Amino acid sequence: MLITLDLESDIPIYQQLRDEIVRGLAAKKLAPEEGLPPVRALAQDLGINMHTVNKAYNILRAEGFIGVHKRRGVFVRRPEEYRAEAAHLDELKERLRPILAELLCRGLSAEEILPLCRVVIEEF
Amino acid sequence: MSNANGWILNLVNIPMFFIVFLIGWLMPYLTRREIVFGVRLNGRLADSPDVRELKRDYLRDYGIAGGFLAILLSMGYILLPDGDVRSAIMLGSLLQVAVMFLYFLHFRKKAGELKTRLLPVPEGRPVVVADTAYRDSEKALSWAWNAIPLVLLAASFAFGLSMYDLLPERIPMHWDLQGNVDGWSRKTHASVLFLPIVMTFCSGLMLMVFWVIRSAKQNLDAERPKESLEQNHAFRFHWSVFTVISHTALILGMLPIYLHSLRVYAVSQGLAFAAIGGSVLFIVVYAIVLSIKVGQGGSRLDRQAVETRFGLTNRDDDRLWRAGVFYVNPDDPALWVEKRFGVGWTLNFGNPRAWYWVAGFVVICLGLVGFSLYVSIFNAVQSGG
Repeated sequence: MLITLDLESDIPIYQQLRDEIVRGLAAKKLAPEEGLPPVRALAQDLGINMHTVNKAYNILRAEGFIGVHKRRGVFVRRPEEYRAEAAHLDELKERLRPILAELLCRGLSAEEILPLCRVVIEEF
Repeated sequence: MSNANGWILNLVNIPMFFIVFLIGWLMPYLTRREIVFGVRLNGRLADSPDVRELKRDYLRDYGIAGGFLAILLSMGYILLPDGDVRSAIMLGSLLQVAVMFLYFLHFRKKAGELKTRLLPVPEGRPVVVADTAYRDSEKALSWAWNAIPLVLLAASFAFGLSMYDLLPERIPMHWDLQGNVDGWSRKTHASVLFLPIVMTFCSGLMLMVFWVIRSAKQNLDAERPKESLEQNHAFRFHWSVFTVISHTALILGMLPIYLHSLRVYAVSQGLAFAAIGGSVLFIVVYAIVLSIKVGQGGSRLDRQAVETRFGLTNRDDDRLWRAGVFYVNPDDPALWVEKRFGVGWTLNFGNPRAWYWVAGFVVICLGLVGFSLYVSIFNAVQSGG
């Protein structure tokens, strides 16, 4: 998949990288079991610090999206291995809250927000 | 001995001045479309009439100056006595590169002015883009192909060693420009295996180049990432193939002179020199054709990828390129990156490991010179004896 980073953004680069890979999973641009580049290779291709890539990979691993194997290197896990469970859903609901709050307080109604979500989902 | 082999040298050397000129002259058309005279331009600006005019101005201005210099050097080369020829070649080509660089700097300044005047703020969000599958092994030429030249090299060692007892006590080591032997060595392992050992240094360099091509940083145009990804793949593939074929041609070109010097088989001197000249000529022509056909980063190849993301542009990295050609970026862990004005790769001098590579190249070159001196001084015998 193509990873796009905005190095001048206020969002930390490791966060952007983590979000890009999750987006790739959602869009099925990363196949289950597909390999990801080693830390050094990805850092040099993107022109970012190795620690940044390492940090993003560590988060993704903790979240269950990727695995690191001694011989296979970094790889994408199968969807059933990171399917959302009750605990996940609660946490994701919390993370959705501030975004929905912002949309509501900026004057959008629930009837406007739901189609917006659909548009974003279809863009994946 | 007649001047029979002199024409081969002329055949290789005189066109060299024109080749150096030609490559520099066409360079604005061989580099990436989004980088004009080392200045990163937005896609819309890169295709503008102003930029086309700037490139045409370079074609005219450097065409006159560089073309005149190439003619002058060739004339000088023909008229100079043979002894001065080698130094003239070296200095002449250096002068050509220096003149081209001055023209480049002048036009880089103009391109920078154009950018400030027409599009000082980037259109779109500046981003970096990279493909996670770029380094999958099936997308690059396999290391295994290097076995072809390496087997040939090993065979030449084996041949020299197996023939050792049959060889005469005196081995020709050096030829003058007319092809007469003017340096002999007594029979030692170093002198019998002189050419294979020299070729080993060359092979080492070729393997380093192969590694560099495979591992260099990918370079995608954020405005059309899919197309430039395909171009990048093709670029890397073509030059990897070039490296293996040139490596093989270099060793094959050296084999006849090796057989000739050992006097085991009747390989004529003419054939031996024609093989060296031929293989060098082949490599030079191959490199030129590839540069023109493929362009820097594969930019001259047509690719039909459908782009789906818009509103993104490349980060302005002009200030990271000192004098427009030296990449100095301590924040970039990459070691080898695509050249900015040229076809090929260059080091990131902001990375401390770059200096190990510079030192490595110097050590290999000094090793080669040192070995040649060792054999020619410590094993030398009087000629005619």
